[in-house]
Amino acid sequence: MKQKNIFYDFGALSEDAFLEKEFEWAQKRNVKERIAHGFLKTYKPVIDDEPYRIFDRLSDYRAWCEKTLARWLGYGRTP
Amino acid sequence: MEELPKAFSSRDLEALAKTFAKHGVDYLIIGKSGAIIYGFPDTTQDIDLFPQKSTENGRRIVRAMKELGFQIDQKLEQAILQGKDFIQIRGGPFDIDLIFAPDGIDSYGEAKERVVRVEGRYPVASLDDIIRSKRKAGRQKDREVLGRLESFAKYLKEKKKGKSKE
Repeated sequence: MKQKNIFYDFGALSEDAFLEKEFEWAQKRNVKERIAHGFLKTYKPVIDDEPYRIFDRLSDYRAWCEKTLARWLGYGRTP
Repeated sequence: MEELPKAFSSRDLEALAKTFAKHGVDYLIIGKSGAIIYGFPDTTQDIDLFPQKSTENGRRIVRAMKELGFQIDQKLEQAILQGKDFIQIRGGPFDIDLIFAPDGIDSYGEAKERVVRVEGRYPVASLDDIIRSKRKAGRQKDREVLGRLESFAKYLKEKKKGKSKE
């Protein structure tokens, strides 16, 4: 699907109207297109360095993220 | 030029759904990956699965993942059979997180009652469950996406309401 018009409206519409238009466009895509647009692979330091990691409790995983991962990755909890 | 790493593709999703169905795996797709399958315009890296927690389902997952090309050693197999809360797998044909106890979702059974089979074959947790889970997780990356995700859920509900009125 060719998505040619939506960004010409950027700034001309209110934020909500623009968002709605963006959703409308996105809804026209089938799952195949949604996956093609929605998944990308970039290297994430530490996370991508082991073939797998196992955490008994989700809280262990959250604590590991807080302690080990760079803050800019966004895995830290916000207050 | 360095080759870009391979992203999760629709072929991967299709293979996953087909192989998991063949082995009778009971699971839901959650997280941002689930939202993207609904059509949420955003990006992610991996697919998040919320499997039903039981030894039998664990055995099915192991069989299915091996068939998909994942190397499952004994330690990883035991973790899947035991349904450890969070298993992050990066060494396979695509990145996958198995989350047996996602934030904000109390029971697999209840979440399954609200499942939506997108295009009739991809079992995705309800958008409300995905939002609830992200809200509870409360990480910076979740907070950043929540506003847009809530607007998207509202948009889909209004669209559905509009359609049912027609």
